[in-house]
This record gives sequence, structure tokens and C-alpha cells, in this order.
Amino acid sequence: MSALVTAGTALAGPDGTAALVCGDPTSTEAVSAALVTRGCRLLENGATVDPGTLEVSGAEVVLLVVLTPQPDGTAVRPMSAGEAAYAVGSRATGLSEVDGGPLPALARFGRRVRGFALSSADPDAAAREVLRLWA
Amino acid sequence: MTSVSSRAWAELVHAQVGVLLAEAGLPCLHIKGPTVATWLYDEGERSWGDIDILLPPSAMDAALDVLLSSTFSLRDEGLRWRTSEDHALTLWHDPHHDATYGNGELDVHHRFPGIDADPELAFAELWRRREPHRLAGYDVWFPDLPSRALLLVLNAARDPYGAKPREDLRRLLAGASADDWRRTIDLARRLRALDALRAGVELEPESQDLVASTALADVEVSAAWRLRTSGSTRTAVRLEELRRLGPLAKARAVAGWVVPSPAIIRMRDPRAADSAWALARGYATRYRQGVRELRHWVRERRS
Repeated sequence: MSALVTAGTALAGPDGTAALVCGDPTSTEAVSAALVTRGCRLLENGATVDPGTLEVSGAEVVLLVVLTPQPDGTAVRPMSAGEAAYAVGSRATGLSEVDGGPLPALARFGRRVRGFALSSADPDAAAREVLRLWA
Repeated sequence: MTSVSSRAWAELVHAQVGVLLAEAGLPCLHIKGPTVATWLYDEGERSWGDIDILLPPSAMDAALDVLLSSTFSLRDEGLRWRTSEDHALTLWHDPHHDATYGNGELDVHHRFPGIDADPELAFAELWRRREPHRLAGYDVWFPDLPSRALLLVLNAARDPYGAKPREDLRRLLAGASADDWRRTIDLARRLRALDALRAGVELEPESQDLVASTALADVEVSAAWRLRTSGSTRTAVRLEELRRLGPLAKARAVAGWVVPSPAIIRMRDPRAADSAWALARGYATRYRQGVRELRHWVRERRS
């Protein structure tokens, strides 16, 4: 099966589900590292998402966090299903190769995964926020 | 002119239900019949006629308003979904509102037996995982494959002697991979349905390896599900279920059981609708049956 290959980092939480963190590369790396120090397990950089099950290495993606840097403070905004689908699609490569076609896979992603836009100056604060959203 | 097949009518009525509720902005999952027939069987190999849909409890009243003001009627007049003992309320397709039977019955489920999670939260999880499907050319929602597998097994556990549920289960066991079962078991864990899932798969002897090689091996099947899958009486199952309830829920269940509403008596025995005398006879029959099953249960417990 041709997978949905995204420019995000997938991490597994203690409950066995996965979060996909993407956006600004520097923020993604720092927040992913902060999540690992808080007990998450790094699954993949450049996550390969199964388009049918939305799994990365056997863990189902249930959360999408799109990071943007900001000078101070932390802000979170829920994304609509369409916005989450677009956020992943626009960061994916080889979309035309995705098994079953890209649009059904992205629509499935939008329906099943809760998406949030997260802006933060502090990777630790952002990681705490990701864990709160994940719970 | 070519006549339309009964399957085509059934598909059209299924689609009608999905479209009516979607237009009203109400979430609705089609379950059972078509979701299994189009998955595990070849075209025309498994019949399906009656309609089963699953809704969140919070959408039940609005959905019933929509359906009853369309071409459906209550099968059991006076029965209310909140107070009935069942997990579903049955309507029938009544296109002319004159009690002439149309194309089958519609079971509107507000919960699914075997899923112990809060019905509202359970629906939210199943709805999150929904997949688009087309029936009679219209868009409807089916559960995803792990959800379908779970509902299929729970349905077999609830109806262990039903020919269709058992054949569905055999086909699932024959075709599902280890990864498929991992996903189904994960979902059952989230929905607090592991107990009934194990009881259901164990109906088929060839499931031994599956149980032994998965997390199901550590699941203890409750006495109520053991009784259900061994075809024990309704009374025996309910007595076992009572033990798991809190004091208030227990009192409510016993009250509803000892003094059921006339609508429930009429649902169990349609002849009870004929007159007050027939209704009294219906109550008497129910009490006699209850006492008989109670004695049987006591004997079973002693042995």
C-alpha cells in the first residue's frame, strides 16, 4: 500500500495512540524532543501514515499539531476537519501515489484526527500543551 | 416495465433513512445488514432487509421526530426508548401511514449491547471512525472495518443461535489478519467491550488460537455473557447483570422488570393490544414465565 508520507514527526503516547507534529522545522524538532523527555516515544521523522487505518508504525494518529513560532506566550486554535486535511496534504509528498487516491485519505484524516494550530515561543510549554490536547 | 427487486427496495429505504437524518443534521451510522453483506459476502450472497441504525442518545428524540413525520411509524405504540428495556426502538416502514406494512422494520439503536462505555461517548468514537458508502446512489455512513468487526462479534454474542450472525462470525474469523484483530481489540478496549468481544469470538472453536495469541487471553468473560452465549434464559442473564449495577440502577431495573409498562407487554405479545382483558393475560403470561425462568436459574446455580 502506498502511504501518506508527511513532513511531520510522529510520536506515540502512553495510551498507544500517535500524534503528528508538523509545521516550522525548528519548532517541530524542539517540541518533539520535549515530548520525548515527557515519556512519548519517537516513531518517525517524515511520518509514513497508512491511508486506510491512519497508523504510523502500528499506532493510530489521533492528534495533529501544526506549530508556528511566536515571540512570546502560547496560543492554541482548533482546526476544522478541512483545515486539518489541508495541513497534512500540503505537507505530504507523492500524494498521487497514495493507495485509494489522496482525497479519500485526506478526508479520512480530517474526520478522524483532531487538529490544532499551536503557536509558542517555548518548546516545553508547547509540549505541555500537546499532552493536554492529547489527553 | 421491469419490477424492482426486494433488495433494491430495501436499499432505497436504507438510503432514505440516511438522507432524512443527514438533512436534519443528525449523525447516523448504518450498522449490521448492508455493512456486513457488502464486506464479507459476494453480491447477492447474504440478504438484508430490515434497517439498523445507531445514533447517539442525544439525537434520539430529534431523529424519531424526523422519521415518524416521514414514512415510518412506531411498531409498538406507547413504547418509549428511554424507558423500554431494549437497546433500540423499532419503527416500521409505513409509507401511507395506514399501518400497511412497507419495506421492513427500522431498528433505531441508542446503544449497542456489549459496549459498556457511556453510549454517547461510544457513539462519538464510532462516528469519528465512520467511512462514506453509497446505497441506492445516496451517500450514507458505515462504521470503519474494525468497528464493523467489533459490532459483528457482539451481535453474534447476543444472538448465538442466529444463522446469519454465526455465518458472519465464521467469515470474519476466516478472513481477518492479526493486524485486523489488533485494531478491533484496541477499539473494544476503548469502548469497554472486551468482555463481550471475547465471549463472541469464543462461539467458534477455531478462535482458540486467536484468543491465546492476543490481549483477549487476559480478559475475563462475565457470568452474564457466559450465560448469554450459552443460550441461557433472559431472566438468568438479567439476574447476573443486576449484580453489576449500582443500588439506584438496580432498583430502577427491578422496578421496570416487576412492573413493566403496558407498551412492553404489547411489544412482547402483540395480542395483548386487543383488550384490557388480553393485556391482563399478557401480564400473567409474563409473570408465569419469569417465575419459571427464576426457578430454572436457581436450579442452574445450585448445580
